[in-house]
Amino acid sequence: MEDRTAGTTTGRLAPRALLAVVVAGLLLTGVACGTLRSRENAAVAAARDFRLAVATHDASAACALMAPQTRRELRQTTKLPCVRAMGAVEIPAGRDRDDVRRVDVFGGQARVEFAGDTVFLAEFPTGWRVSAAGCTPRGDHPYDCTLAGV
Amino acid sequence: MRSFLRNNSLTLVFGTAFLATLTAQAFVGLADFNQRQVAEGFAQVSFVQFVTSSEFGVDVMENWQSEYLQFFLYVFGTVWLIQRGSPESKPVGQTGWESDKDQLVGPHATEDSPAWARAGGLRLRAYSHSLALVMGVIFLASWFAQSIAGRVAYNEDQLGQLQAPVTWLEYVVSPDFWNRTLQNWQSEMLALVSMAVLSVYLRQRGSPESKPVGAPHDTATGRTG
Repeated sequence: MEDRTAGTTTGRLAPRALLAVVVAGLLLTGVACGTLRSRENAAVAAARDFRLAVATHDASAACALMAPQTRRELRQTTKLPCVRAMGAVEIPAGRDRDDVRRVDVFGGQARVEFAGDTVFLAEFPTGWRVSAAGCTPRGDHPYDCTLAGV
Repeated sequence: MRSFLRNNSLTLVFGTAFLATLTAQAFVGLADFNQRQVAEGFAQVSFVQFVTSSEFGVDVMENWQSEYLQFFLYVFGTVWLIQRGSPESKPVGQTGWESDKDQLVGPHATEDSPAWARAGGLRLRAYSHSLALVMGVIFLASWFAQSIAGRVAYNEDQLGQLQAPVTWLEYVVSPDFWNRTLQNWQSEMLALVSMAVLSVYLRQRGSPESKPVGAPHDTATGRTG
């Protein structure tokens, strides 16, 4: 008799539990999508700011938007401080705000494709920073980049 | 309270051990991930960031799916497959779904039988396979979750190395996905065959997973101590 009562209670609870799981799943999916969209926007904004800094020859702004490893690599390659080294490398620039072709964010890494250039970014506590720019694809091999810290 | 602990000690001990080892995995996984981040010039992440990351998710899911696959195969496979002398196996000649009388269903159900075992039709059919079904569904769900988290973790590595990300369809046929999958499956299959064969010849006194110590090797199939 006791078992039957327990079975009935379980029978009533099961649909509610299933509904709770489905609702929780949908809420989590919604939160995840919203978070991804805002992170994509932040990565695109950093890439645009970098290209604008290059276009306006604002070397200190461009250097500030680089990942530390990329800045270090630029200094070692050119034997110049980052601000002066910016004139020694050819990085595609852009002022257009609507020229983003595609954006991919996975974990702490992002790729933003512009018309004629691809920018890679990494996430730091201070925000997204450019890890490579002036990149062109090479099939299954890594992109060929004029500026890279990898 | 004491009788509850005693009556459920197997579940409670292994449930606690599961939570403890999962937590330990999270801490050492975080240390390992941050070591790689520093070596590659990227930012370290916090504990909360790590346990909600795909990097942690794929490592957990790839192990879960293989464990549930193992139990699904063992529960379902032992309906039909036999290992003579093994306590894990039914006796030779008793393969298959067995009779309603043996399974205590329909008119052979007792007052203590679960409600769905006393019922007929679809409910009885579903309940008759519920253990294998649930194991199989959890296996498929966690394998799917592995593919989702694995793709994100793989693409994060790809972007960090200035390589193009892949789609989900490209990922599920990639060496990374199948390497993660098969390295877990092979160890589960080895565990299954080891248990089936070793339990024929070896004993653990007092364990229901073993035959009685004095039971003969090639008979006593399905007998447990």
